[in-house]
Amino acid sequence: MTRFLPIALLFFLFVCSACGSKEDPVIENEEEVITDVIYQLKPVGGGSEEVTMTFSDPDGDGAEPALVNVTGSLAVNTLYDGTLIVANLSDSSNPQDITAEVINEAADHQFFYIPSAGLETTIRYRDSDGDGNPLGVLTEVETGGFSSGTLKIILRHLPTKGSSATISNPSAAGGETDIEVTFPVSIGN
Amino acid sequence: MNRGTLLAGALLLGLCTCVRAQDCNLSVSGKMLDEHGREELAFASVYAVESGEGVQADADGRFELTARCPGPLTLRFSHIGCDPKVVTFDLRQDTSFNVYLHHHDNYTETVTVTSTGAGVAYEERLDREADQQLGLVLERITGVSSLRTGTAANKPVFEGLYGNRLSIQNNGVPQAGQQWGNDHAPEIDPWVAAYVRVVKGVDALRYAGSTLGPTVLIEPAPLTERTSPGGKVAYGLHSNGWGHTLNARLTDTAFVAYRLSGSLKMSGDRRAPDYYLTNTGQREGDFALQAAKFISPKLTARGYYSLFNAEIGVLRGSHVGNLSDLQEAIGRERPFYTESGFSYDFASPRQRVSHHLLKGELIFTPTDRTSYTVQYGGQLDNRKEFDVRRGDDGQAALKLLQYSHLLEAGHQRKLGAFRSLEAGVQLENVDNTNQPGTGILPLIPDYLANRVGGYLTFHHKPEKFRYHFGLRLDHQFYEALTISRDLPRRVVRYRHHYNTLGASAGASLRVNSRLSGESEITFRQRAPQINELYSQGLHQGVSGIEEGDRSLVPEQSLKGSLDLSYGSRNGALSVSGGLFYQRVDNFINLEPGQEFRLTVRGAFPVFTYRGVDAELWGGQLAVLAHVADFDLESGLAVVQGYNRSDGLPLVYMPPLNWRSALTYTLTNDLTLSATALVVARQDRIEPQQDILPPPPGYALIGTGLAKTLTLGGNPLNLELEVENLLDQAYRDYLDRQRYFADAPGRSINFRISYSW
Repeated sequence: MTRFLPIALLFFLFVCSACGSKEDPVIENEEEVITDVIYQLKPVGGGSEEVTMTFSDPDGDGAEPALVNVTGSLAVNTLYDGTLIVANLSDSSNPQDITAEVINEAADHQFFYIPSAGLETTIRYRDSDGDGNPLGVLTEVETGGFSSGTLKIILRHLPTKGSSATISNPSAAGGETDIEVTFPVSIGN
Repeated sequence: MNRGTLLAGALLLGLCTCVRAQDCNLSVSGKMLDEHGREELAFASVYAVESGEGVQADADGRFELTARCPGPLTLRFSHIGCDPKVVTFDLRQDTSFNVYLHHHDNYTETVTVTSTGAGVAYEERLDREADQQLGLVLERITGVSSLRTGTAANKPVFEGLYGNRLSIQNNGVPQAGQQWGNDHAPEIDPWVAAYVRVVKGVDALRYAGSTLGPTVLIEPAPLTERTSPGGKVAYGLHSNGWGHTLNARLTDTAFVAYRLSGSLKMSGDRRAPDYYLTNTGQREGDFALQAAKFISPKLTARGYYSLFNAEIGVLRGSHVGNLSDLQEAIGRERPFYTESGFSYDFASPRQRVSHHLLKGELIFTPTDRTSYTVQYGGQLDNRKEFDVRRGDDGQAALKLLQYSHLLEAGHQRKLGAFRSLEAGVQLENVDNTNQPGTGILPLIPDYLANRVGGYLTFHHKPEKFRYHFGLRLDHQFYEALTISRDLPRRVVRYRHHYNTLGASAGASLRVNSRLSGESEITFRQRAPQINELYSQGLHQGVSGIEEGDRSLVPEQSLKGSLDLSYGSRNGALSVSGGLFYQRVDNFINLEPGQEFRLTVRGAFPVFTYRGVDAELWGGQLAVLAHVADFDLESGLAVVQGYNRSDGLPLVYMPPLNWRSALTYTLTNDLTLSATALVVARQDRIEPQQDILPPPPGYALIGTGLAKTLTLGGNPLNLELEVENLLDQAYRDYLDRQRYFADAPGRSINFRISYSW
């Protein structure tokens, strides 16, 4: 009888190892996530069509592919006012505009706009943080002749402000990239 | 009165003369044991230096030297796999004592022998490294390398295995909190540890924990009935990082035998030869209490509690947001955010961890042939990691709380003179919970893990040909509470059951008193761990999205090894070497996928855990030599690993490394030492396997001077040491921060310790 005791005990342990259940975890409110980037270009003085570039990826790192959309072409030799909006739309019942937070912490942020080679545009900052360094929520875009390519928009957190970085070359700025999205752009087509 | 004294003196003189005149008929006898006093060192050698004679101990480790003359006697004790040790004393009468040797094989310790107790002297060598990181202490074992995250984390690699494939036993309890990834160091204070070693094959079967064979054992010096009261305080200063370490230890007996240990550490930014490694400061405060009660000769109770508390800064320039950041960070002469000055302060990224371990053990030895043990080990690991983030920097990006419990019962029995049997059952429970309030979906889900395991080993140890074999069975249950990545977010539960088997058999042949060989074959299965099954999300350390695969099946490994040891008769030279080959089916490998996943931070490679067929092989060679006043210790290790499924080498395999230390004893209390470490370049990596080619090989040299003074009859040790003497700029292949910065440069270390 005692011989079977260890075996019975072992069996009991095996059965026991499968018991237990854990409470549901709290689903974290992803407050700092950015899911959507919207770049609105309005022609100064009207005349041409407004162009809106949208990047949307509500599931973040998840497997669902991100959507990139550009509403049309930019006109040749035109000056546009650009406004950037960043938002967290991961929870459709609670959309959050992150742009205000970025402006609040302007000294810790900087947007960069990098047109691909061949795309005839000149982009300039139209805003700055409290120290007079550029921020890049507001920009102006001057188009040149017929051309096409891409526009890459980068948001750096804690860059070295006042470094030799320019609006189209962030490499000297350092910092962590919070946003890096690329839009197809054509001018005049 | 005066006359009486004279008479007594004459009588005494006469007695002495009488003794001198006697034939040499004194005997010296004793028993050689391992330092725990558990295992007799069968057939060990005893060499009498003056007369040049040697005897061999019997199967129980007993030795006897007869027909000794009175006077100074020098005995050298040696055993294959142990450091030789010399004991000198003045023989006046028949003498009997126990000799406690420590196995050198895979130990970082040299052996010390005293007739009163091995404990204190043993600890000395590891004590001298108590102001180093644990990983660096482990590296002294031939075959062990470190997988590092700069100065922030350090994990051992042995024979190409690390992380989930190499378990770490802290005082006999599998260290918890190690399955969250490779950037978390084991939470163990080297000051408390007296012995570190790696066991494999049959010897490793009895240990719980996730492993594919070997296990690292880190143990404090046991309290034994021989333990005498005493204490030690030590202070260390490292010039690189201006690190201060204060250690204290007190051993005493009051109702129970106890030992209190404590450590305080503080260091600031480390410095690479050309710049400061900004934000690499650390703070640490550790405490441990060991207690033992020898209730009766048959019953011993032991208790242990340790608390490890640390706050660790991570190199600021190693924190990147995406692949473009990484590319920019790589090309730089010095890392981003490098400050021009030194600072003790550090901010995010940083880690804060506290780890409690509580252990209780009852050992019942009804006869000297049988023993029973019951052990409980509970751990609480509380880890917080702070990232540089847009919101509040004081808000942790990762907050984990893990409780784990281990209940174990074991039985040891000797069958006849040479045979012994050991069996045990283990019950383990791990409850891992992500604490809310991080604002980030966790990379590792909440989970519950229960495991039941049992083992049985058999040893047959006669003089010439020995064999041993063993079996281990485990049943692992997981319940993972994942949060869906698609919207809307919801909790999805998964359950898993895995059965795993471990079996090992080995034999050793003692050719003669100098040469022996050992061969072992081990089959082990390892259940996938939670990070391999359920990791989910962006891992900024690797700039990739890491995804677990819940369809993974246990790894299955077959390993063969062959070891040879030579120990010269007078104990002045010992050489050991080994070779191994390991085949692993379903080797769980983190592999980059073909496609990149587009996120708002740009495109990231997706790394997935996948079961592949792998093979590993390698070897090591260790030499210990004592020539005149010189002691030489040298170890060489080679390992290679291949993924047989795609023919590519495995990543994070240590390149060839060779470590040597030469000590010269100038006088009894003054020693000079020189160390050298040579690490080759890791050439067995294809360019597509890494974002940066492996760094070039490097060689580091160091030097040291140690002096022992006597203060109030007790030893006061002073040491001066220079690490990386030439202030060489280098990067190590196994360091995950090598993309961003050089390793630390020269450090001049001073250490003072006083023991009583």
